[in-house]
Amino acid sequence: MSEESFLSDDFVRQLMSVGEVDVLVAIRSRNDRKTIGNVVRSAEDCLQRRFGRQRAVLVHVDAGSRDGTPQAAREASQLGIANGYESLRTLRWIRTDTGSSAGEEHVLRTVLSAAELLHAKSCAVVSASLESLDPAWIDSLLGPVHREHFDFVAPLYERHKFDGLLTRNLLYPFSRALFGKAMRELRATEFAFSGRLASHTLARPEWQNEGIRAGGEMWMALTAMSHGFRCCQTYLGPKPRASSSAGVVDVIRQSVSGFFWCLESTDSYWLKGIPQDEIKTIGPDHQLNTEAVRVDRKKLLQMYRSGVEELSQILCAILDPETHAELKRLAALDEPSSQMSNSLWARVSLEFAAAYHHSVLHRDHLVQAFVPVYRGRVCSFLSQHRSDSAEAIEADLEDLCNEFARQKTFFIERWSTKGKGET
Amino acid sequence: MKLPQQPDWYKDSIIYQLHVRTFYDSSGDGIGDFRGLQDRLDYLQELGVNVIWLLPFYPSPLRDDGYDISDYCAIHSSYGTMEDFRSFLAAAHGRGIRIIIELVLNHTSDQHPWFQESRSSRHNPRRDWYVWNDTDDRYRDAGIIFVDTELSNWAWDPVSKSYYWHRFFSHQPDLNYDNPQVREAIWEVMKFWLDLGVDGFRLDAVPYLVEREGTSCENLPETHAIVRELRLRMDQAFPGRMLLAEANQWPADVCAYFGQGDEFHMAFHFPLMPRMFMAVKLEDRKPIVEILQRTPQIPDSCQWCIFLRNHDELTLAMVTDAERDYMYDEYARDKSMRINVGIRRRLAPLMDNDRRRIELLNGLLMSLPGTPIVYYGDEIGMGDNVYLGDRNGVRTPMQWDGHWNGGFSSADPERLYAPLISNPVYGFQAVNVESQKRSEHSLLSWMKRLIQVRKSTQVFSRGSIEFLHPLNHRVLAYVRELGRERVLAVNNLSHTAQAVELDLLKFKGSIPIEMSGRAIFPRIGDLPYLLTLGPYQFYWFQLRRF
Repeated sequence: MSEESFLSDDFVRQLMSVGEVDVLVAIRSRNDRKTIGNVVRSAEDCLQRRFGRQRAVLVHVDAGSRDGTPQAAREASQLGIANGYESLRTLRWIRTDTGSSAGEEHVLRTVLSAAELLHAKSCAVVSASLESLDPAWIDSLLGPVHREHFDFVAPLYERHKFDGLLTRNLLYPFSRALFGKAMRELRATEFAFSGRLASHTLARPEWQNEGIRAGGEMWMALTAMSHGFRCCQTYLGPKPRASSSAGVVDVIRQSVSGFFWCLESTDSYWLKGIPQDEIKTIGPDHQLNTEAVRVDRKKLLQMYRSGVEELSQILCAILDPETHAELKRLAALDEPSSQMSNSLWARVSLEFAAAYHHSVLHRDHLVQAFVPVYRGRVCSFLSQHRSDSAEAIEADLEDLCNEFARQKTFFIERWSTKGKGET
Repeated sequence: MKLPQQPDWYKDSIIYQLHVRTFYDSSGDGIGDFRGLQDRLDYLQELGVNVIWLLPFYPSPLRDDGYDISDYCAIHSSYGTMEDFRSFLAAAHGRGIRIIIELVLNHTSDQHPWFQESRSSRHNPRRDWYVWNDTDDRYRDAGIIFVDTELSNWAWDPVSKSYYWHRFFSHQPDLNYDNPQVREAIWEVMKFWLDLGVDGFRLDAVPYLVEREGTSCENLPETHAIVRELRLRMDQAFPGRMLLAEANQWPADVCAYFGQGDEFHMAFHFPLMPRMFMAVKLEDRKPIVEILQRTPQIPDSCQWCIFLRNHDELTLAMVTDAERDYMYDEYARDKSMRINVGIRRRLAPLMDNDRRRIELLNGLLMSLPGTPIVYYGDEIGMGDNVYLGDRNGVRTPMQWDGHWNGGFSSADPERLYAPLISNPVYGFQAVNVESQKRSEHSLLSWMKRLIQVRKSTQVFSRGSIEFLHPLNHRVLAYVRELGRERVLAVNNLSHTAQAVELDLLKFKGSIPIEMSGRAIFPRIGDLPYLLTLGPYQFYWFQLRRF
């Protein structure tokens, strides 16, 4: 039985009409009618002004928007309108809709397929929700691929000190310890890659695995690191704060399960014990905005307490007794004293990851159990750093990274054994 | 053979541009001449051209390849006598070939008797025939044209102890067209040649005739008034003759030289030319479509002249800075290929001697709107020599055969006015008329057939143009239409095979017939018309209804 193609006939026809390109910029959208206009104009501006000699294409991949996003994108386009700039070449838009039921990995796979079919040498992906995007950002992403032949370019942002905490507390220090590279934004909605990496990624067998639904972009970055592709990161600018807590549990669960799955798919690489290595960083490697904001630490602590209590049996199956006991002890303390140290947090994360790998329980339940523990960590973080400077926060992050690195050997052993403490 | 007599004969012309010096030497002195050119008229008639445009052949110190004229009403002794010219003219007309000659209106050589008199004294009757000033600070807004050699548009004359104005080389002082005596003298020059029977003039450097303070000294209303006056006099005394303007300007500015049909009959479409080269390199139709869409309508009696190369550099004056940089990077990476604001290379070397690309560009030349000009030697794919200085590398002797001096001259090779191209790729042993005449599949044979097809219908010379916009931007497609006749031209600008779907619904029911082989293609129906083209391939289809 033939495998059904995930590329529609119409999209293939559009690809045919474009032919070979040097540069591809993909815009991903889902219900982004209000913000896609600026993204469209920024992408066109960048390609016309900074890549005017290259054969370029803009690819809009929409995931079943219902708010008129595709129409808004068409209306926002300035191509064909006199804008004071005469580009040498025809700049083309091609568009496809992957449907609302298709996951993020489907969007990524569509972009990679377009890149491969068009023989694109340099590709960038941006999110239509990023209202602050400007043409220089796209140039910053594409530039290292186009001019310096890097294969994967991750972004760096200026963030609020209390933003991106999952990335800064888990994804970054954990991946840095295992993969040896300090790539800060592993789960990025803006990144760039080479045609070479696109072809390699597209050919991987992991597309058939359910796990990729949760971790497509992370997996691509980690695959690049683990298969000898040249990686770097580049500073873009301020990233607007994420909207409030709506859907944040799903985000945490998806990111954590995606990350743990990525570790599984790349373990043949990092199990060897990879030493720390420099990653080229273009621009400042961190920028924190320390503007004061109100956060409800009490609620977080309450969620942590109730989670530790209600999920005690589950946590007992996942964690070492000492680790579990320490979490319970902290849960019983009042806020100022209930501080989850870097050492404890690293230990908890590593034990969870190993438990995920060994499927000590159903993986969904395991990841669900991680959520309240993560909230406890966040509460500690907010409390500890509420008045801290950017430098102090960065120093603490470095300490956290060192903790993960220090416990790496333990983790590798735990990962490689059948269960807790077994050989 | 009789010359076609309709007043707008120039619309149906195929023009062949040459310098008599380069074509054929009958006297054995190493320099082409009119007797030699007359001897080669059969070749030109066979090629299918019906107009010859002659570069300047007047007496001249030859410091600017004859554009520095020292006598407007004579023939340079190297090229023959006035009798030779008359004989050549009659022979050309007898073969149905018209002759247009160069007339440099803007300036003369500093050796011209007019200038010699003008400079001799401030009180000389011809003093005011040129533009003199005691200082060099007038007309500061006028740009320098020969930027590689000139630092100023003023030159100090030690004889006259004052400055004279020159938009071109300093040895080419500008005539003063504010002086009615100058205008009258120029008319007398034109009348001299028209009386002999020449069919028209290519007027060199027209935009620069008049100077006014605070302006660029280009395209001024007074210049147009002068042109209208000359045109009126010519039409009255010599109906059916033609004026062709050399005005290297944007289309909207060039259009002004057509007037209301009362100035020039024809003008070069300079901005289109580099864009054809750009489109092939970019593999994108955008440059061609955009410039033609931005070209204003011209009076019905007027016509654009389109060309690929000529005796000058491939000028990049009428492109943007980004386009110029691109053209230099792609076509003239070696800086010795660049001169002034352009590239001094012939067509074949620019195309890396790729036969397919040479054919494609000639196909565009013969099918886009306008009267096409073929530069001598490009029909056989001649090469160039950028080391000859100035633009002389594209003005080397015509290559007739693989023997002594390429069949151009019986003189000692060292005596030739310029060395022949002799490298293994473009040298006369490899590229010459004689060997190409022997092959049906040579570039020369192909050019003859192309010109024949072009001349088989007036759609190309007089028809409208409507661009099609298929999704595949590597394909340039357009329909030329005249009355009930329609031709569809489809051009693959890419080095790879391409598929294209054309929206031909308005021609539904028509049968495309490919014009070179007469093959019948599927009838046009409701669906987009799918065509596939090989690298750089093009088709011309007559769209016939039966």
